[in-house]
Amino acid sequence: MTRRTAWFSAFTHPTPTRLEDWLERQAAQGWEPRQLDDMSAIRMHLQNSTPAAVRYVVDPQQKPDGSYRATYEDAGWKYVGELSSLQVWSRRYKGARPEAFTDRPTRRARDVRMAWATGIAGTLAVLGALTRVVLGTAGIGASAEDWPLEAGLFALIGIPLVVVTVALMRRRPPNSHEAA
Amino acid sequence: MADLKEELSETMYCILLSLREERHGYGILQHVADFTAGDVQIGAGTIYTSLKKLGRAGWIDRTRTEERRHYYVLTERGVRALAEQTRRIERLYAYGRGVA
Repeated sequence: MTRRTAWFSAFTHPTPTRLEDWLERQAAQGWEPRQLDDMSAIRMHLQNSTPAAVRYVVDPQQKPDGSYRATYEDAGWKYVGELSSLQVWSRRYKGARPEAFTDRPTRRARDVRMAWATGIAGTLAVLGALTRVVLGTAGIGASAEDWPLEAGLFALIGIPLVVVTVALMRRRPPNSHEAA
Repeated sequence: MADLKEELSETMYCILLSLREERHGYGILQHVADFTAGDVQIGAGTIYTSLKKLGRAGWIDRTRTEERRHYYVLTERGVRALAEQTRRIERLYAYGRGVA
């Protein structure tokens, strides 16, 4: 087998650090994504490779400017692709695991960027569920009898995203002793 | 501005020191590792995020772009902020001298 498919990996590992850890475990077992596209959050193809220590970095960046890729590439990172506004980088290493976010304020800023993305998507899905419940119970709409299923699907997507958002925002802020 | 002063990290301070001369992102990483003898290692994600933040605060300015690399240098406001932070660190050092 030279290729396998991982389903919903970005949803089952919804924070940058969890997704990084999962990708690194796959690489250690000899499975790596060669490229990512818009569908990879749902269906990610992993290619068989030599098991290796690979550091992955997941960086939520909506519209990075032209210097973004140059900065990472100059520092030795290889661009894997974009996963729904998550920029994914990899780097093979020996010895100490390399870091792209080397201080707590920027790690915190990364969590906040991720929280914005999950927060907006989660809130919209929860609002969609509530709207469907209200319309369904009032009997408004052409397929009024389908509302529990539709509301349930919206809630299934929205509630975990809201939970992830809250978890990201509640992480401890940087310690003041890190200030210069 | 006030917020950035309060949260100025060791990394940010080193970036300000490095940007007394015009440099691009990776150039800053190398220069900081060099003048701190490897004590302060800055990652690519951290430098990109920090440069955006310093730019928004008006402490650094983009001077040019060459082969996708943006070059930056301290603004007058950045020079004043760096001097202020250095005086603050010197005061702290004076209070703590003799402890270690």
